[in-house]
Parts: sequence; structure tokens; C-alpha cells
Amino acid sequence: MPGVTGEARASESTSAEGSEAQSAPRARVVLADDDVLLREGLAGLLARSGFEVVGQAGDAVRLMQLVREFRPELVVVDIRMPPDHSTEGLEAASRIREELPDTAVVVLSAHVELEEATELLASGQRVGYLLKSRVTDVDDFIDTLGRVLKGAAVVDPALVKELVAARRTQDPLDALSARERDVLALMAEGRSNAGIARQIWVTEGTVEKHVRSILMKLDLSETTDDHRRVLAVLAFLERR
Amino acid sequence: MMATGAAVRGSPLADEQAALRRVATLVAQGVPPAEIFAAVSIEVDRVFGLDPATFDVAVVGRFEPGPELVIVGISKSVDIGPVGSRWPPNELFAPTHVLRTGRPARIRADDVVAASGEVAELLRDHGYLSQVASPIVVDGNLWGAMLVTTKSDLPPDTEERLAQFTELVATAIANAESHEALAKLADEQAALQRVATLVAQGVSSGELFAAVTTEVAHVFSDVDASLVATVIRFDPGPECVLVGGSRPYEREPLGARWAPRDLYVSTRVLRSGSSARVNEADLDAIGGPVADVLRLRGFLHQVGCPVVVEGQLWGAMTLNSSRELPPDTDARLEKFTELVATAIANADSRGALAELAGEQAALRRVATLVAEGAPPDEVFAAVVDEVARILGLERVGMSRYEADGTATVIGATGEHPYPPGSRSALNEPSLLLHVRKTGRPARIDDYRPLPGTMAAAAHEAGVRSAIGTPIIVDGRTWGAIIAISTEPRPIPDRSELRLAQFTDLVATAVANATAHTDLSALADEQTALRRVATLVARGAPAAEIFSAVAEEVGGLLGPDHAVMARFDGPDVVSIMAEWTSTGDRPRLENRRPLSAGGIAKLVQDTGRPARVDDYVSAARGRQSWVLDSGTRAAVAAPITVDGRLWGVMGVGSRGAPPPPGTEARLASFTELVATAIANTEARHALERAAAQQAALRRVATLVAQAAAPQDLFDAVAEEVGRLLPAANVSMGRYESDDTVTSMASWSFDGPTFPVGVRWPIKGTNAAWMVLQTGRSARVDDFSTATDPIGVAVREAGYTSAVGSPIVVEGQLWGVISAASTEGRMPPDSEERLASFTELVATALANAEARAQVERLAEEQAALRRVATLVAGGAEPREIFSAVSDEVGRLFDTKLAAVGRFELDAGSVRTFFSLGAPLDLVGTDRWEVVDYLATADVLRTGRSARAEAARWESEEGETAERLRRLGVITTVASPIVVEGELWGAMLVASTDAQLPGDTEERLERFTELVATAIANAESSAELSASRRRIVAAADDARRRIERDLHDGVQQRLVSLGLELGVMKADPPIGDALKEQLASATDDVRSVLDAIVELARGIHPAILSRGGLEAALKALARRSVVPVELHAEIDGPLPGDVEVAAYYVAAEALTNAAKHAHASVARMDARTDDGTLTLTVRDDGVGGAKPGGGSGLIGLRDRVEALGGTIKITSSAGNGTSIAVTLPIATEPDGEIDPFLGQP
Repeated sequence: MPGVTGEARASESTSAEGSEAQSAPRARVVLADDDVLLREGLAGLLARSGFEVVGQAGDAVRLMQLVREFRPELVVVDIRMPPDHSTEGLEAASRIREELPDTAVVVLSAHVELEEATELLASGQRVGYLLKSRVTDVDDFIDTLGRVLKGAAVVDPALVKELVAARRTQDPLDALSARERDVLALMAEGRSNAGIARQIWVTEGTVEKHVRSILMKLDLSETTDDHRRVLAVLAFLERR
Repeated sequence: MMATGAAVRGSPLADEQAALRRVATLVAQGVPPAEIFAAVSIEVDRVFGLDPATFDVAVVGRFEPGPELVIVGISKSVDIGPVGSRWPPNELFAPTHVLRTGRPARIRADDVVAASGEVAELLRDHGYLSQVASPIVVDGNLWGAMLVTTKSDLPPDTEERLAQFTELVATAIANAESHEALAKLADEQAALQRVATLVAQGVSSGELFAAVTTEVAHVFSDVDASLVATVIRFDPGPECVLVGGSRPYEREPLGARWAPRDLYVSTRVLRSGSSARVNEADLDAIGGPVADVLRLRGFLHQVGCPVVVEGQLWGAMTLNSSRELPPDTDARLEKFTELVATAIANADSRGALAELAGEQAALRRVATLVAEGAPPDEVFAAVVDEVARILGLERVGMSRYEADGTATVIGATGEHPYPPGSRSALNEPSLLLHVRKTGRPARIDDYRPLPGTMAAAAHEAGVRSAIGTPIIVDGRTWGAIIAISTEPRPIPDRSELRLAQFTDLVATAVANATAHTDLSALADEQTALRRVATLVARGAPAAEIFSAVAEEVGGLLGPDHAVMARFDGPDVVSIMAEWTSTGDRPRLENRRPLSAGGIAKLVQDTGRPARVDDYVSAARGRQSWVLDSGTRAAVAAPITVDGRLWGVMGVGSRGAPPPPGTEARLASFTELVATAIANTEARHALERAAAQQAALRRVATLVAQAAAPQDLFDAVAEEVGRLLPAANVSMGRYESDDTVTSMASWSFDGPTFPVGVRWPIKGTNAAWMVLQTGRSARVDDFSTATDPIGVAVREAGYTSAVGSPIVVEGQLWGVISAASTEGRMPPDSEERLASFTELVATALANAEARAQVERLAEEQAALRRVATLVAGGAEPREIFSAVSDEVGRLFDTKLAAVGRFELDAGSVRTFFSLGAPLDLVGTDRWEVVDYLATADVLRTGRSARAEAARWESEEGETAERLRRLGVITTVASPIVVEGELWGAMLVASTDAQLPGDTEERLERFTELVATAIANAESSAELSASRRRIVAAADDARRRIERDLHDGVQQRLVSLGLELGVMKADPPIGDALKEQLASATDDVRSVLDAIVELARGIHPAILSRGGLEAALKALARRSVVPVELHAEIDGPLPGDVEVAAYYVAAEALTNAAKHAHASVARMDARTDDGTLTLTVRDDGVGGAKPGGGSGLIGLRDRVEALGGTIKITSSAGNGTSIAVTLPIATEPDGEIDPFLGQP
């Protein structure tokens, strides 16, 4: 599965973003990570992809200063930073969201944990929770950043996968078809119907049909809001 | 003469004028009238030229009643009369005519010549042929006349010329008269003043009357020098009493009385109440002997004036004269009578005052006596004396009315016919009776008409009148004072009144005296009671109190005999104290019988006070010591001590019965006595109790000091003997065959029972009865005894015995008995013995307990030794030997062993003896056969005992061995280690039974052994676990190393290779993208592998999200579906979380790998400081620690944290792993340093 979507993503982003890369900067970004190498690498990657990196921070305090000063559209922050090396990134994210609610925040983590995802997602739209290793897939990473900037709530597929794969004695997911499971996973990742359609090479209408069917089978309420949909699905997956 | 006369006439006017002037001067000078008369006469003589050689004379004369002319002045002395001579009236006398006419008069010579008669002759002889007289008018009254008489005719103007002289004379006279009057007035005033002074000085009446009459007489002496003035008092009668007279009479001394007579002026005054006169004319008119007497005395004229004292006609003052008394006499007398009246009033009042004072003084004297509380007799005597004095009566008596209608004389003056103490019957009319009947004063003024001998006797005795006044005490006519007069005159009216004041006093005195008597009686009684009470309070010996009481009662109630006695039985009293008024005691024994009808018996029967007024009849001829002592009447009161009738106190009289209140008064004393007795008894009781306590304490001390039993018994016997007291005390121990072994015996001074001897007790003795009943018993009659003890007791002279059981720990052990030689043992002996038997029982029990304690101490020491070994971590083997030794020593046997139950090859349980081998034929392994105690232990898990009887007839090696050894009893006790029956401890004896508590005692040792074993096991376990943990850690490292090597390292190498290839031969275009993509994938998978590896090393989620999140993640990732229920409150300690996580992880792994489960249930909850984690799967079960399941590592980990892990995994039933971990933080020091912090 990851392989499929990964590839699909790769192609999608290439076509979509390639043209945009040359025009005006996509967004102003502040980066935060205590690993200098990785930060520099990310900065370079973002710059080449058309983002304007307006600041880099090595700790949460500095991050807040930069954010307040530069008011970027996007913040990419490592979850683990000095001084405690635990969840500073999450706290910074929520503080940024409080002070500057329109800022998009993407949190990178070496491990993805559901609790952290839900905590971040709870802070609203324009959030992303990704495995750090995801950055190695450049196209996908950039694409995800774009989605978040556009208002999506993104959860790393690895987490979704773990959730979906969790065995249950009487798994309600058994009621779904394979395709529907795919769609569900994508929903959990935070993709819009259109996004899902692009991923699995079907029409948006088909996706809508699938979505409706899934929601009905899983007894989830329909919501037009993608962001809330993500939460609902995640919650369902976790709860079951 | 003529010439002279003419010559004189030539200047006669001048001469006359000069003469007049000379006379006037004399008058003005206030020359005495007499002198003036003389001077005037001479001047007139000269003026009228009277021939000195002739009898011609000028005369001044005064008219006096008669009438007479008194010559008061004459010019020359002639024989017709000197001054003072009197001339009666005569026609031929010119003054007579003046007198008649009040005008000048002349007598011619012719008339005289022509007249005849004696007077005419006298006149002719003297040549008094011509007379001219001129009136002397003084104050309008014809006073006298002036006369000139000559031989020849006097000129016609003589009257006129004489008139001038008579005027002068009149003036002189008037002056002189007024002088005289003044002088008289002055005199009178002086006299009045003198009298007044006397009055003011309060001289006695008599003195006053004498003075007044003298003064009055003097004042009126000019009228009549022999005038007599009197003061007369009017007395009832009426009578006149002469109380004062100016000249003592010969016949009528002062105090003379006479009845009123008309001719006495005093009578007239009396009758009229105003001044009166009696003249000679009246005398003549009325005549009679009184007139004669009066005439004789010369009282021809009387004037009387009333003396009115305070409005009452008291008497009169009289003037008695032979001459007529001037009209103003009354008035003048009245001044004197006024004074007299005042004086009398004063005197009266003084007299009254004096009387009053006298009375008051008398009353005061009596009152003082009364107030001083003088004895009534004294008061009565004083009263009658004072009354007699006050009333002036000689016979005064006071009587008291008695209840029986008689009266007793209680006081009398000396003259009284009835002396004090005499009684009168009052059955005849008499003053006493009357006063008594009416309760009011009464008087008898005449005894004669009264009936009755008494009246007659009284009259005979000269009693004429008497007054009586009641003495009212408390509203009752208590008595009377009678005053008797022998005078004919009745006793004055006021006397009753005056008496009344005395009777009041007497009444008060009586009341006081009664009260006094009562009070003093009460006071006496109180004093007596107090004296006795003091004795009682002081705790004086009873005997002293009794005699004091008897004495006080005797002295107080006034009987002849007082007795206090104790009831000693139904018919016997013991005399405790006795008193007689005579001082000598009746010679009687102290114990006296009560005679029926006697007063003591009465009291005993009724329990109440009693009285016998006539002992003779009461005794009815029976023998009575009371009678013998001379008592005829008695009163007695019971003495009740603490509610029981103890005795009696009585007073007896030889004569009259004691008064009614005696019982009550006795009662106060009997109460005191009862208190004294109660106190004494209480004291005795206290003393006895104290003695008993002391004895018990001494015995208890011996007991506490763990004295040797025999010493104790001897001591007890003696203490009991001295205390009760008893003549003999013995102690015996019951043996099983109705015998008693004598343990101790003590005797006051008699024979004792030999100690150590066994006596059969069935029979008449205390020991037998105590044995029968198990309680205290007494035997009061050994006369019929036939058993050895009874006979011995009797022969030894003991008459009564009391026995008390000695009960040791609920068993009747023995008996203490106490015997007396006189009568019965006191009733409380059983009770008192009981305290001692208790002590003895305690001592015996103590001895037993002590023995026990010693044994216990030994045991404790042994246990301690073993415990020390155990705590010191000695080898089990060493401990087992030690235990066997100790146990063997304790139970005095060589056969003691500790053994473990083992399962033989053939599943036969054996008892493997460790430690000291049972001294047998070389083997230390026994099969556990049924008849062995160990079999029971094995079966029941509890201590057991087996006696020889069980294997007596058994066959088999074991049984033979036992028989050979001569084992009688075996006792075995289980050794339980960690809830499992591990082995047993065995002890066997060959001589005697093992005591009943052997099991219990053995158990203490088996506990220790179990502990030692557990300790050993757990320490072994601990070491093993530590080793395992270390091994596990090493293992984990190895794995990581391997995984790193195998996984990551390999991949990185291949990645490096890939990139190296690319570098060496850089692809282009799609091939470049492809190869790069592949390299990226490789990188990603290396990352994943590392992530996975890292998770294995330490799940980051634990740090970040806590146990619950980690468990959830585990559940998600688990291959086997997991149902997770987590309720974890609050953060948990890191190491606990880690341990729990690994347990869960391992369990889930096993469930997947080994158990082939389809579902796993995971439960995690915190509860009261503990985390409980349970993982259950429905797999095949059969998990065992070790065998690659990693479960051992779990146990180590969990137990290292002080938790528990329980793995249940029976084949086919799935596996359940339950872990509890304490989550309270522990100090670091206690955490196993090896495991360290998570």
C-alpha cells in the first residue's frame, strides 16, 4: 500500500508543483530542528522547492521569537527539541496556533504516535504530523506541505497504516471492501476526496460514493470538513 | 395765860403753821405713828395753849371695835390713861359723838357740869369740861379722833383748827397704815416666801405644815397673838386629820382625827368647798359640847380656807382666834392655802413618786433576780417581801395553783400564817379560790360574812381585809399573791394595781424560771449529752462511755437508779454500767435475768421505750432484781445499734414514777450510746479487718517470695489461728481415697495434729463436710463423732470447728480448718478463713505456674538460640541439628528429628531425617506409614500424636524399630514453608508420656525451622534471580548487537555499495532516478529497522505517553487481537512502567509465538498503590518459565521491583500472566542495585 500511494504521490506532486516552483514563493517558512545538518538540508530542499525560508531555530524559544517576528505562513518543527527533548515541538505548535492561528504547522517526529497526532490535529486545520524519514521522499514531502498550506490536516501514512492494520477480534473494517479500506486509509491521512481520487486513479464521484458507503458502514456521520473527517476516522480507527 | 394765849394768838397762825409743818415733816419722814401721835398731841396742846398745870390735854385716839377709843397719843401724862388705855363710849365723850356722826363734836362745859354719873364726875374732877373732837378719817374710813379737852370752853374754831391736825394725823396714819400694810404685806410675802421655799425644797409635809402654821400665826399675830393656825387634811370617812398646827395642842397631837362637826370651820370648808367662818355668835347659837370645847380653847372665831390639791379638796387651813378676825383674813389665808396645796401636791407627787420610786425599786430588785435567773424560790420570797414593804402590809403570801385543785404556798412574809410549802385545798370560799376562778384581782374587805372555816380562822387571826392578784403565766392562772391586812381600814384601792406589777414580774420570773428550768434542764441535758458525745468521738473505750452515760443520766433525770445493759439472749442482760443516787452499787452479778413484766423485758419485746409505774404490781411476785434494788417505778429506752436491738437503758425511782418526758430524754442518751457502740463495733471491725489484712499481707508476701510450700502452710496456720482467733488450725491436702494428708497444724497451747499423716475423713469433721459440699462447713458438736478425726478433735478438747476449701485452678486441693475450745467458732469464721484459703490456693497455683514459667523460659532460650542461627543465615543443616538438639533437651529425649517429606521413586512419601539422626540402625529415611504421627501430619497438615498402642501389634520394620527403641509416645508437628507442607518435626519419648502441650511447644520450633527454610530458599532464589537478570541483560545486549549487525549494518553496507557503484558509474536520466529511488528506499528501510530496534530497546512511547499509551500501541501492533482495558490513575514510576510494558510485550509475543492464541485480553489498573496487569490469551497454554518463553526474565524483573507475578498456564487452558507492582515510591537504597533505574 505505501508503495502505491507513495508512487502516486510522487507523480502527482511532480506535475502539480513543477510549474509552480518557478513562479512566486509558495510560502514563507520558519524551520525548527536542533540537528543543524538536517535543518540545513531541509532549508535547502524547501528553497529549491519555491519556499522562502525566513528563519531557522535550534530550540523552541528561538522558534517562537522567529515566528512572532516574521509571521511565516508555515512552520516546520521537530517534535523533540531542547531543552527537554520530549514534546517541545507539540507545545510550540499549539502556542503558535494560539497566537497566530492562521499559521500552518507541520510537526516532524522520529516516531509517530497516535496521541501526539490527535493532540496536534485538535489544534485545528493546517496541521501536519509526519515521520521524519518522510523527508527523504522529497516530492511527497513538498506535496504534503502544500496540502497543509491549503488547509488540510495530514497524518503520516505510517501511523494510519498501523491503526488500520491493528487486529481486532471482530473488526468492523471487515465490512469494508478492499477498495473501501484504501479509501478509508486515505481519509485518515487527511486527504480530500479529490486527493483520494488522484491517488487511486478514480473519479472524485466514485470516491464520494466510496466515502459515503464507508461512513455508513462504519456508522460515522458525514462531515463536509476534511479536517474533522480526519479526526473522526482516526478516532474510530483507534477506538475500535 | 390769856396773855400768852393772846400773845400766842397774836401769832397763833404762825405757830399753828409751824406746828403743822413740824408734824408734816414728821409724817413725811415716815416717823412711826406712835411718835407722830405724841408729837401731834403736843403740838396741838401748845397750839391751843393748854395749861400745863391742868389736866387739859390733847389726845389722839383710835376707834376700835367695842367700840372703844384707844389712846394712841397724848400730850402729857395724865392719869386718865397712858397710851394704850381704852375709853368706852359715853355720851359725855366727844369722840363718841364723832364716832357716831363722823363729824367733829363738842361737849360744853355746861353739859358736863350738869351731868351726873361716874363719867361726869371723872370729867369734872379732871376739869375736862370742854371737849372738842375731830374725826381722823383715813382712806375714807373713820379711824379715830383727835380730842382737845380743857377746863374752859374752847374757842369756836377749835374744830376747824383741829381739823388741820387731824388731817395730818390722818395722812400720817394712812402712811403708817400703808406702811404697816406694806410691812404686813411684806411680812406676809416673806412668810409666803419662806413657806414657798420650804415647799420648793420639798420638805416633808409635816415640816411644811408646821412651818406654814407658824408663819400664818405670825402673820396674823397682830390680830391675835395667841392665834392658832392649823392645817387639816380631810380623809375618807369623812374625817379631819390634824396635820399641822402652829401651837401644839396638849390634847390634840398631830394626827388627831375627828369627825366633822358643824362648829368646826374645817367642817364647813369641807362641806362647802370654800372659805368659811365660824364666829362666837355661831358658837352661842349652836352651843353644845363642841362649842364648849371651842370656847375653852379660845377658838371663838375661826376662819377656814380650803386646800385644793389638783382640783381635789384635800383639806383646809384654819385660823382660830379668840378675837374676831379681820375680813381680809380669808383672802390672806388663801395665799397660804395655795402654797400648802402646792406643797401637798408636790409632796403628793413626790410621795407618789417616792412611792413609785419605791415600787420601781422593788420591782427592779425583783426583776434583777428574775433576770439573773435566781431560783424561783428566791424570787418568790423577794417578791412577797417587797410587796409587803410597798403596800405596807405585814402579811403577804404567794401561792401556786396545782393541777389537782390545791394551792401551794411558795412564798410568804414572816407574819404570814401559812409558811411556804403548805398546801390549801381551795375547797372553801377564799381569795385564792376566787382569784383562781376568775383569773382577776379580788379583794375581801371583811371576812366575817364569809362562810367556811378558813374565813373564820382568818378573821380569828385578825385578818380584816385582803387583796389578791393572779399570776398569769402563759395565759394560765398559775398562782396568786395575797396581801392581808389586819388593820380595820381596808387596804387602799390602788393596791391591787400596784400588786399587779409585781404579779407580772412574778409571772415573768416563773415563766423564765420555768423556761430557765426547762432551759437549764435542757442545757444540763445538752451538756451531759455533749460530754458523752465527746467521749464517743474520742473513741473512748465502751466501758468508760457506758459508765459516763449512766452517771449523766442519773444526775440529769434525777432517778435513784440508772442502768445500761446489753441483751445477751432472750432472757439475759449483761449490765454494762450502773449508777445509783446513793453511790453504792447493788451487789448483783453483771448478768442478770430478765423478768417477765420487767421493764427490760418490755423493751426487748417491743423494741420501744417502756415505763412501769408500779413495779410491785408489775412484777407480780416474781423475782426481780430491779425490785430488789429498791426501785418502784422505772422508765427504759432501747439502744438500737445499726438497726438491731442491742440493749436497754433505764432509770428507776424509789418513789414517784419518773416524769412523762423521761423516755424522750433517755432517748437522746440511748442514741449516743448506740453511736458509741456502733463506733466501737466499727472500730473493732476495723481493727479486726486491719489485723486480717496484715496477716493476709504477711502470707501474701511469703507467697510472692515463693517461699517453700511447707513454710507457707505453717505460716498460714499460725496467722489464721491468731487472727480468728482459734485454738487450733490445721491444713490438709485431699488425696484420692477420701483421705487427707495433714500439711500443717498450729495450736495456741494445745495439742497439734501430726503433719504428714493421712487421715480418713469420712465422718464428723470439717474436712469431710468440705469435701462433700466443696464449700465452707462447720461442725459444732463432736460429741457423737466416731471417726478418727472427730474423736481426736473431741478428745483434744475442741468443741467447734470451721473448715474452708482450698481450690487450686478449679480443683478442690485441700482444706484449712480452725477449731475452738470454748463454745462455737464465731459466725464469720468461714468467711475470714476463705481469704486465707484463697491465698494458699494462689501460692500453690503460683508454684505450679512458676514451674511452668521455668519450663517456658527454657523453651524460649532454646527458641532464641535457634532463631539466632536462622537469622545469622546458618546453613539449614546446621539449623536442623541445632533444633533437634534443643527439642530433645527440652523434652528430655534423644529421639528428636527434623525431616522433609519427599516423594520417593515409587511415589512413596518418605520422611527424610535431617540433623541429628534418630538413633537407629543406620538409616535416616522412614517410610511414612499410617501409624506414625508423621502420617497424620501429612494427611491433616496439623500436629499429631501417636502412642505405642498404635504400633503395638503392627508388623513392619518401622514398627519393630519403634518397639525396640521402647518408644511410648511420638508427637509430630508440620513444617510449612510458604504455605506448602515441607516436612515435619518429630519427637519421641521412651520413659514417660509426652506432656499434653508438646504439640504446641513443638510448633514453635517448627515455625522457626520453616522460617529458616524459607529464608534459605528465598536467598537461594534471590541469588539465582540476580544471576538471571544479569544474564538477561547480557542476552539483550547480545541481541541488540546481533540485530544491529544483522539488520542495520548489513543494509547500510549494501546501501553504501549501491551508492559506491553509482559514484563509480553515475547513471543518468531515468536510471539515475531509479537507482536513487532504490537507495532512498533502502535508507528508509534502514530507518524503519532502526526505529524498530530502538523500540525494542526502549519504547519511546513510554517516556512520552505513559504506560497506557504504550499498552495501547502494543495492542495495536500486536499480531494477536488485543482487548485492552486500562484504568491507570496518574503517572507511575518509570521502572514500574517499563516492567509492566515488558510483561505485556512478552505476554503478547508469547501469545502470538507459542500459544497460537486468537485473542488476548489485557487488563491494567491501578488500585491503592498497586499496578495490576493481567494478560490472558486463549492459546494452548502450557507455558513454563524457562524454555525460551522469557517468562523467567519477567519474574525477575517484577520481583526485583517488589511485585508479584503469577503465571497460570495449564495445558489447553490458555496462559494467564498476572502481575502486581507496587507503585509507591521506595527509597533508592532498597532497589536492587543491579536492576537500577529504568
